[in-house]
Amino acid sequence: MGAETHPPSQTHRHNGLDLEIDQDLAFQEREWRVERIAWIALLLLLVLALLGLFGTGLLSSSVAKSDDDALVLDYERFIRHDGEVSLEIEVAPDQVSKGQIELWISTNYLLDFQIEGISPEPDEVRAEGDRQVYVFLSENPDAPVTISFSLSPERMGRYSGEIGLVDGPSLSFDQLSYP
Amino acid sequence: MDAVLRAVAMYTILMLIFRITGKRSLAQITTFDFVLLLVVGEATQQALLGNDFSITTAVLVIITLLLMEVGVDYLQRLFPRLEPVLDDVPLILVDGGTVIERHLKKSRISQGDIMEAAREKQGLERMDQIKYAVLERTGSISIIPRESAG
Repeated sequence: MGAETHPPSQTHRHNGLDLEIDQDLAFQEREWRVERIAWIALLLLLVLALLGLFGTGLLSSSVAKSDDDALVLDYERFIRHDGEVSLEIEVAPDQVSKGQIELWISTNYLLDFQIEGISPEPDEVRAEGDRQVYVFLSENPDAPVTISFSLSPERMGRYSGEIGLVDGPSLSFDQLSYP
Repeated sequence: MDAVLRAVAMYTILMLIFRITGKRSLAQITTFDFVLLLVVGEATQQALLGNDFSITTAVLVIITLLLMEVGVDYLQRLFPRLEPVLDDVPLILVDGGTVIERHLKKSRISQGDIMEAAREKQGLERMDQIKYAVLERTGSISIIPRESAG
């Protein structure tokens, strides 16, 4: 026969009085040990979460820069499926030409996101080959331009993104989306 | 397909977490325990349905969860050694009138908890009226009173 069967309802005796019960003290002791270990493991998990392993925290906050820092991206390395993702892009003032900035993002990257909002609103949006181009107006030629994209991942897994300015600097970054 | 996989994942994870945190976690003893249960329900629902409010997804999730229940029962029948692992085992807290302190401590139960069960379930007044007290797998405490002498 295969598996050893669990002992049938044990009859627990005390002073000749019987209690029919499935208590299994050997198993119970093991269970208590496992519980202890599991609580510590769960606690560890929470600590890692607080540190940002699952997003929003020290372990997750990242910055990507193009050569000579003309383009800087603040992003989260760890994101979650259906969660909130924010890409903060800062463009150096010397990149503004003719009062505007043409920012592109790889289409591959955006395809698997739901775009919740873009701040400020782009003046124009167009598709150019494998890139989405967003045109932002900038009145002040001396100030850096900050653009914020609000996204929501539509899948779990790795994301590889590229961002750049048309005919200008670019950068790439990676993210991991948890289920 | 998504919905089915989520349901399987959530069922397994919940089962694991609640088995690990011990027998008393879901017993709903205090108001707070009740609130906790509600919150767990809400969090689980979010994970299972997301933005999908279709009848199809709801039904698929329900079916998946129920089939997992049936599957677990079936598994226990096939491999009886799995029964304690999956379903837990009861624990004697008071044995023939004697309180087993170690069992109370390990299960995080106080004598007050036992007396509460004794009052609720058997209308008993004192610890010495209890013959057996058992912490059942569900987390509730069952009381067997002493037969009155004479």
